[in-house]
Amino acid sequence: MRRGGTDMIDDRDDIAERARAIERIYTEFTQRLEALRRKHTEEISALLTELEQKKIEELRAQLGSASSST
Amino acid sequence: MARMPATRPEQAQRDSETASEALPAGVEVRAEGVEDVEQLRVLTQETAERVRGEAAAERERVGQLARGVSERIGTGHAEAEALAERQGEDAEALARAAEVALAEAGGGVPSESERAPRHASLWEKARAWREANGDRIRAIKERQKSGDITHDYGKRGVVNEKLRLCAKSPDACAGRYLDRLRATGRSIPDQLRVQSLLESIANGRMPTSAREVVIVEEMTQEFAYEEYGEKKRDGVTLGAEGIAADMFTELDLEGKEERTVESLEQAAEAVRAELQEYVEKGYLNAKEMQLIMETTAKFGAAYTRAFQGKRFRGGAERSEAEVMQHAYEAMRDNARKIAFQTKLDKRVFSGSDHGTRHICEGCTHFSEQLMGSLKGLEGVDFKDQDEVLIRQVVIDHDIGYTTDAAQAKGGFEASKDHPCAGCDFVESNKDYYVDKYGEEGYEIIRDVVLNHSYSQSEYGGSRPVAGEDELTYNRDLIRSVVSTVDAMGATAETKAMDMFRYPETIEVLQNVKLYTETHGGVVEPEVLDLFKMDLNTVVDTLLAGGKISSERAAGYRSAIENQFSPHTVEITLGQFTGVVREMKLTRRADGTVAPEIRLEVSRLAALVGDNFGDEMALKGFVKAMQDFGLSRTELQNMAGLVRQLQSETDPVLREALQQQLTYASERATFVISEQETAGVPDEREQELAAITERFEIFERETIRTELRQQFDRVRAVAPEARTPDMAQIIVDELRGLFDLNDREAQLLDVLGVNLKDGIQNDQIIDATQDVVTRLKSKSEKERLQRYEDAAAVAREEPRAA
Repeated sequence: MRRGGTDMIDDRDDIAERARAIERIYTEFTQRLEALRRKHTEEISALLTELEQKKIEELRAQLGSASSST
Repeated sequence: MARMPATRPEQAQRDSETASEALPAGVEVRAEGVEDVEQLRVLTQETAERVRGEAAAERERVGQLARGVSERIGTGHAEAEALAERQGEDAEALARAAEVALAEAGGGVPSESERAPRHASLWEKARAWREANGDRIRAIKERQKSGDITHDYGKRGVVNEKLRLCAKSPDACAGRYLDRLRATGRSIPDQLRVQSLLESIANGRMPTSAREVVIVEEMTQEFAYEEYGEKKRDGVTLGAEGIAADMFTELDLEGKEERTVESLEQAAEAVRAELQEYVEKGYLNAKEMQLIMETTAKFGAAYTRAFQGKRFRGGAERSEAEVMQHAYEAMRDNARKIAFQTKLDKRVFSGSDHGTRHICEGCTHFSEQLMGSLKGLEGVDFKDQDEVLIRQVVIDHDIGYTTDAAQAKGGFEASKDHPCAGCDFVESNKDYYVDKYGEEGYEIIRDVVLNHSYSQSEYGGSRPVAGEDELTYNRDLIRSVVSTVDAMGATAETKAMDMFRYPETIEVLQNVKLYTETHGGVVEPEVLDLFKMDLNTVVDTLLAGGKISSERAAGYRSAIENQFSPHTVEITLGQFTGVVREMKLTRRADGTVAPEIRLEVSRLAALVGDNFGDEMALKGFVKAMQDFGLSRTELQNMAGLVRQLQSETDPVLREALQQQLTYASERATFVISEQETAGVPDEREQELAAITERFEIFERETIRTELRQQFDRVRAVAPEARTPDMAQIIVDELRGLFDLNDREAQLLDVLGVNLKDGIQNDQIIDATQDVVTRLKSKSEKERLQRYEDAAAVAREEPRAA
């Protein structure tokens, strides 16, 4: 099938086939985006854990230096 | 104390999922009711807007989440912003790719400025991508050389992990496969069956029925491919675009002009002229050029025979001149693809040849045998267009071995993902494949490349109904032929890596094997360096003798440096099993069609078995036969029967043994026979004869054969009939074979006592053999002296320090 412009779309079957292709592309896009969303959420969650850990370590260090100075 | 976030990101994800479910009805993208160009234009535009909108929403979501995280903890603002930015870019990249596909499907509906260029030429696209991504290419080359890609790629590739990945996310795994089946109009297995297969995967069990094995392999392979896409999106590999850009550079395609041809003769002449350049530059040798010429000429003839006067389903008609021009372009591009694979193949030890020997002398040759036998089988739906696709996939199926990750230092594991990289290559050049083979042809090439490593034997299927002068393909038949010939590329005549066709290199492999066997499987790094040096010396000799070009010598050196290991030796020696003599498709008594494959064991296999054991000698056959569903139990008597056949001269008894050496599974029948020489009708016969001679010398100069025979003789006697005297005889005979120092002599005495006590126990015999195998004869000691000295120095150095 030669493609490249609307002038080449010349019958109903072709239009229907292209419309189905658009539907498929969109379905596939939403699936991929969903997978990406999950990955992003996991990454942000990992960042949260990492920052929490850092914060706790910071607080521990502060407490440590506070108790040694008293 | 810092306030922790009230909502963790996982909760936010669940909330947003609930929100998206609540969207008003009617907002889905629906193809139904689109009947004219204007409606198609609206659908395309609206869908593209939705895609952009959803990507923007994702950018917004991750921005809010990341900012929320850093604000609530009161630190990490920059990290959170950077993460959100990258994630936003990921989402937009996904949207851009979808928009390009939408624009193409919509037939050029977007405005001129938005329209993505359509590349029906592999090389225009490769050139454009290469120019736009120079920095990325340079960076990945550095990482390839340093081995950083291998590190980033991880210990296990996605293909080797696919069952585990699918067991972890069964719904996503099945969902993706079923979507793919729906999208390409294939039949969908019923839900109960899919559920039961997912349970099998979760429990680590493979189904036994051939059809279900195909479903499991294809389903998990699609999932692996998705995971591969993640690696590409993460920038670990450049994937398909990197392959095409490398091809453009490695074959010096800059400035090559497009030609117009009017006949197959002109096409062949143009291809010949280009291949001749590659020979002059040392990229190919004359034999390889000849093989590529033959393969592409047959391809061109098949292409015009199949497509002249026909059109692809739903496609426009092509004029005679257009078909001829497409035939030429495909011939030329296929010649380039084989030349490129042949050139890059020499830079790695990926386990087997992936150049002309595998593509032309292996897969093409055997697919021609299978196709020849198909033509004589009534009721099998095989047509000329199926032949074209089989030939095309044979050329494309292993192109993934040329990808950056597989070519990198230590890239052996990444090379196992080559079907994914190959599929990516086909997908990213969709326009090209659709032009040459139609939409359906493209989808089949994509699927078969992705699944080529999993054998299928389904020759009873049919093709979609076609209109007048339209072409459709028999997908299952194409996939069955390609996977069968690929799986049977199992033995040296079609599989041995290029460098190990030279008998001088075999001698080094034998030494590595001898060293490994006599050192409990350990080869110290210093010793491995010496073996590498030996191989480099052979390369010097081959280069000086004009047997290889300097380009090839550089490739071999790179493979030696980056990938040579004792594992390379195990793989290579296991390929000298024998030869695959013939393949044909036959109708069985139950009416089904399956391949019948004739295998021949040669004297070379017997020698490998004598020296290194039958398991190694028959490895090539066993692996291939297991791929077709034969179990280890069914094959365990094979070695004994082959041994008997090799020593039997009585024609009646030989015939009886021959009968027993026929193995059948649901997917194939194997007939094993024996012949003194390899019986290959070209220069490979001399190659194998020279290698056989090296094994004969090795056998004369070492005692490995005698050692094995001593223990095999005892095992051949029933345990209860064995006596302690037998142990004494073995020990006495072994003492005569070895060159023992005092410590070793004492060890042998102790082993002798143990063996006497445990002569009726096979485990004791195995354990004794394992220790005795480490002792050496005088000539073996001389042979290994250099390497042992190197190991001794390496052991001393840390102490001295």
